[in-house]
Amino acid sequence: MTDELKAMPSPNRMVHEPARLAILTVLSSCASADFVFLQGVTRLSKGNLSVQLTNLETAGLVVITKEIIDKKMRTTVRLTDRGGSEIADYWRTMDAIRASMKGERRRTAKPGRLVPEPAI
Amino acid sequence: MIDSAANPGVAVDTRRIKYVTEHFRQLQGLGLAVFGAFWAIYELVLRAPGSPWGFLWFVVMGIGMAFSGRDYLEQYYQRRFGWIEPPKNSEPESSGYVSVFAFVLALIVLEWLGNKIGSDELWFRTIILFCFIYSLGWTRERFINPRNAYLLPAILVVVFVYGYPTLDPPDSAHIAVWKALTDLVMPAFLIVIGLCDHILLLRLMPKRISEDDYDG
Repeated sequence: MTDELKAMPSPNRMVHEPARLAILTVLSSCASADFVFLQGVTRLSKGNLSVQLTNLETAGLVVITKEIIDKKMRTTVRLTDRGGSEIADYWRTMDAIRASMKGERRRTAKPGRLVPEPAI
Repeated sequence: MIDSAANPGVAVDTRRIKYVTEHFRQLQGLGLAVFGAFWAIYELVLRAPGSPWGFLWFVVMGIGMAFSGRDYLEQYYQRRFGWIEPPKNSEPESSGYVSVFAFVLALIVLEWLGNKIGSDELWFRTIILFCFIYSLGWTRERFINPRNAYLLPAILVVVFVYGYPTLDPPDSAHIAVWKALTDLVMPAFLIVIGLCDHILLLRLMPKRISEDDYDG
């Protein structure tokens, strides 16, 4: 491993986990979303979604609110300020990694050969 | 698409997730389809011979159905797909109505201007030119919007049905057909777009088969 690869920034593990990343991606595109929408769009099971939301709330990235609307419980989730900055940082880190990988591949590629894009 | 090394079966399609979240309200198209259907029936009733009381009854019934239908559809979408609060900095919903109003106003002004200078095709040419200029400003992201697969052909059909009789006036044998087409093309457009939006939403957020079939 080269020094440049060692110096590469590493993404936040709390955000990088696919289920949590899906939840945070939804919440970064809206002000708040309810449990049904999150479940539908992330395609997670109720149990898994519930566990991941609790993890995110414990980490201080989201706020979970429960309210009764038309005699039915609605669980609403929204990003905290910290959650918003963490997801923005995550995408910046991923962009930096992608850019470093491209640079690294260009340096190591033999002339005249096509360089495939790195899969992330 | 981001795949997890620890859980190879688990992948996050961030592009789909962002698209559905950002266009969630827009993709709830059944209301638009119902409105289009009501408009089409209105156009047909207007043509049918009958008493004015029958027509009035139809309008009152239609307004009542529109209000109750709106609530029903809202409940259906919340139950089936859930609810989101749009971001604070998003465009207000009223901007859509303002655009429609501006478009209708522009058509009226162009028609008046066309009559003034003796050119019937002015408004049609202006719309084509506007569509062309608008298409030049499209970025790749906007071009790959899945709604464009049905929105662009539908707009072209509407422009053709409205524009063709102006460029090549139909003879007396076909004038009634073109009159019916121009009256019904907008309701048909709304029905098609509404249904296609709804189908796209169903495809982007398919119903889960069982509770724990997927444990990402």
